[in-house]
Amino acid sequence: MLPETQTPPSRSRAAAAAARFALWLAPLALLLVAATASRGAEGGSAGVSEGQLLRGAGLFAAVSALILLVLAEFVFRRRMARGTYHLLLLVGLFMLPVIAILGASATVLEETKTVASCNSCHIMHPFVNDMKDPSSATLAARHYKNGWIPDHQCYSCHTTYGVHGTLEGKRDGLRHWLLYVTGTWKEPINYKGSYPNINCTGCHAGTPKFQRVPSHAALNRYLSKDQVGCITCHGPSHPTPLERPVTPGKEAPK
Amino acid sequence: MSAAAESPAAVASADAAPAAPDRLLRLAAVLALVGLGCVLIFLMFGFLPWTVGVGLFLGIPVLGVAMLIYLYVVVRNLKQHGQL
Repeated sequence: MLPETQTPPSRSRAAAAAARFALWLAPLALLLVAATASRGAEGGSAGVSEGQLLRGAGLFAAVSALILLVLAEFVFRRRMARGTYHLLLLVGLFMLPVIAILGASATVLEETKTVASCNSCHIMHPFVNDMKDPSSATLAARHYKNGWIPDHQCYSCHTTYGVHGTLEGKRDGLRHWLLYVTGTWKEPINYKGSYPNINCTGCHAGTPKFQRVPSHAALNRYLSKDQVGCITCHGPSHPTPLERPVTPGKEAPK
Repeated sequence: MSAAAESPAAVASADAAPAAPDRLLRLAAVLALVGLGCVLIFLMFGFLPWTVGVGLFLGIPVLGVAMLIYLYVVVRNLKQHGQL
């Protein structure tokens, strides 16, 4: 029989295993955050962004929660004190999953701004290839090669300012994703979202070059009310449907 | 109270985690493992059409359901013990 102050051997073994697990978690967390940071550095961005940090935190939380849950529920449950079991469930089934969900959500919000995320669907390749083509004269290519928009080029032009613009952008992204994964998009693809002139004038309107053009002053009233679009005179912003390759099996009906 | 009930072994067994798993907790744990696995795939492979589907539209809802079941079990147990 054990003295009251002594813990049963199986319980000490479980505690030792939990301690070993905790010791493993710290280097694992450092490895994951370092891997995430190095990916950010390879991408050419300086330092680690909040999104990358939250992604690292999400990775750490998801891996830790998976290991913790397996150990607590399927390996050590019978050998564990009730309090320890409940504490591990609180951490593994609630606290760490909340961090994992926050990390995943932050990653989505950040990643959807990148050109790579737009280019991850192959139907966007003609647009991104044209934008990165130095010999192209489209608006997107001129903005890209001249470095007028340093990063997040697709997102910067296709998302209207403010919370409304962000929500509209995410809604459009969801619609595009659904069309893509279900294969229900129609060729040639056309931009269906709103494109207010503020997306252009937000950067250009205050510049001397913009103000020197007489037609800008003459059309100011119409431009501000979106009755005349910037791309009416300054297009095309991307390759026209005739210049784009059509996805096999998605030819437009004649 | 009997002598057996007061013995350290009996105290230890009363203090131990339940031998039979709570079925709802087990369900929550399994759902959480599935959900976490899906979220992990998204976080590891990054933003791709299939990872968005697996991680966000499958993983997060499944993980959310697991967390709700866990919270339900916690509230139920607290009520059973007269804490709520």
